[in-house]
This record gives sequence, structure tokens and C-alpha cells, in this order.
Amino acid sequence: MRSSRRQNLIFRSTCSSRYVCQRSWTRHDDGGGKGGSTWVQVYTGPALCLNLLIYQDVFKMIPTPDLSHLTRADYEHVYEPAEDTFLILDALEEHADELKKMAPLTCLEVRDAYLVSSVKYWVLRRYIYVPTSTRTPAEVPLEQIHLDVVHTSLAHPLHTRLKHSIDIILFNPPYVPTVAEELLDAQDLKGIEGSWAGGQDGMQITNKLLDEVDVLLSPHGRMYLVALKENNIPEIQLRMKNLYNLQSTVSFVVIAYAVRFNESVFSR
Amino acid sequence: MVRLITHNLLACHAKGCNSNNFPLPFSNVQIEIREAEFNPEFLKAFLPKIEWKALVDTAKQLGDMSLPLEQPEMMDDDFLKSFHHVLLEIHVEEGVMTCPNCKHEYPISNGIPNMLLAEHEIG
Repeated sequence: MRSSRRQNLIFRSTCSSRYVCQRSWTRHDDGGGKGGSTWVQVYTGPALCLNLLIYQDVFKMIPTPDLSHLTRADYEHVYEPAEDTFLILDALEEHADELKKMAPLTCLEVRDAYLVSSVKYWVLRRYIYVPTSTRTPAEVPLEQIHLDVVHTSLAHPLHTRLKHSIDIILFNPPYVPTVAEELLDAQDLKGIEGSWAGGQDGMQITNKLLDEVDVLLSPHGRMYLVALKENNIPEIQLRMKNLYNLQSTVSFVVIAYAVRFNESVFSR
Repeated sequence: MVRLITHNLLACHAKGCNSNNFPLPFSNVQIEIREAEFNPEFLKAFLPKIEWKALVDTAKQLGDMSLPLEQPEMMDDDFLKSFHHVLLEIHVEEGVMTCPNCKHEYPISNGIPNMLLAEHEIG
């Protein structure tokens, strides 16, 4: 079911953007290899749109994203759910039992800001991205999940109140290696380019958030991050372990996650 | 979609603003009330994360007096329903949040608070 949808989505990506397409295929080629391309999601910009999801029963099931509200014009401006989105869904599904046991109360997804600034708007519905063309968030049927969006840079305004309190962080960063100018241009223009241009090693934005993760994660919290092989995943893992004692795993094709193994480690 | 649950988690993060920077009082607000599913288990679990006085004061500012000044020890249904309403059903669609310390203003537009800072304001 999902794989047929995935084909659809790749096809659409191919139509809308060479780079998006390229990104998908890059990952695709790596698929199946050990430690393949990446990990998870958090995301971007000097301006970040930060989705704050607070819902206790989010892992009951993960339906395939409903894209029926999208129009053709939306695909010109919105990076719709593609391979990396499905990677996260697959990872969350794979870990569904653990995550249910964890009973997460507060989850954080960091995403691209231009989606908000351009009135286009993505929400995470039960961990599904639902890009919408609605004019206001109010038109999104979100009453059943407690999800609020904050337009900010990384998670700074949450540091005071959510220190060591976030159970799950999702980050699908702009991870494609580009020259520095392309990253700067992408951030200035606040266009769809901001969803992939990652500067040197594709890590310029990701590194900023990685520096905050330790402050935000709860004692049993974990972060899912999407990354490419070119981002040097072993180096990311080693750095997070050495600096913050955060363990990580690269899960099937592409997913790695940082986990605090036990409270004693965390409450140092 | 600035509901009070989110408002209760946001602090001013301007450069050098480290104390008296929470909560951020509202002004010039437009409010909408939208019904949300009542989930007592979620409310009980989330209660310890809430800064109670900040929530009560903010609700009062928005005209809702239903919460007790002190967090009750016994959580009966009446209390949970008031808590639910204040936390999840009051949406601030437009307005401004102002830091009590540095007076930085964070606008809210279309229900989304803009917490971005200018380059020189970033700590």
C-alpha cells in the first residue's frame, strides 16, 4: 500500500524539481546498504518553523499521508512527502512498540520556515506530513491532536521551559551538500531550495540543531534525524557520543536515532 | 494556534534576557474558541509540566477566571474540564506577546507566533 504511494510521490517529485528528484534517488541508491544514507528529521533555516506536537497517543497507527487536498500548484512550492518522509514513518513504525511504552508527552519537529511564510503550511498529523494549501491553520482539521506551530530559529524559545523535557525530536534537515553561497541564497530566498541546501558537507544547519539536542531531550528521549552518507554519519554518531553521551543507531536503510540509554547516564 | 499550552512553554530568548522572561503577556488579541477532545489522561500527565501561576494569570488576562489560584490536590472532573478548556480550546489568532523583562515584542499572525530575532538580538 505504502510502496505504491511512494512511487507516486517520487514521480511527482521528479516533475517538480530536479534536486528533489536527485535527493530521492541518491537515497534510493544507498538503500539496503548497511548504514546507508541517513537518518532523521529536523530541520532548517535561519528561520525555522517548528512544529510542536503534544499528543499522548500518537503511535496508535500511522496512516499514509492524505494528500487529497493538494492542487497541482501546491507542488511547485511545497516539498511534499517523499522518500525521507517515508523513512521517518518507517522508522517510527519499526519502533512503535518502544515508543508506545515511552508514552511520549512532548514531541518536537523542526521544519522549514518558508512553508509558513509563504502561507503554505505543513502539519504533522500523527507524524504524517500534510502539506496544505489552506489559507489559515484553522482550516486544518487538527482538533484531535494537540499540535501548535511556532515560527522561530531552531528551538531557542523552548529552552527555558522544555529543558530536558522533549521525548521525541524529529529533524529532516536540508542535508544535501552544496557550496556555501547556495545555502545562503536558499535561506535568503526562503524558497523550496531551503529544504535541501545544506552547505558544506550538508551539515551546516544540522550541526546547529545537534548542539541543542542535549539540552532538549528528556531522560528517555530520542531524536530521529535524516542524513545522507555524504554527511558522514559515523562522525555524527561519534561526536554526539563524545560530547553528550548520546548513543545512536543507524536503522535499516537510513534511520539513525539518538537515545539516552538510561537515566543514570542522563542525570549526570 | 497559540493555545495556552504552547504559550506556557515559550520564553523570551533575546540576547542577554535570562530572567523574568516568562510568561509573555498578550496584548491586542483576537481569540477563537475551538472545541477539542477531552482527554483526562493527557491532562493529568501534562499537568506537572505546566507553570501553574503563569497559566492562571494568562487565562485571567484573556477573561477566563475558571482556574483555581492554587493547583488542587484532587483533580475532579470539574477541574479537569476547566483545565482542558483553558489549556487547549482558547486559541489566540492575532496579537502580540511582550517580554516583561526586555520588552521585546513577538507578533502572532494567523495563529502562529513569530519568535524570530534580528541578527543582533540573537544570544
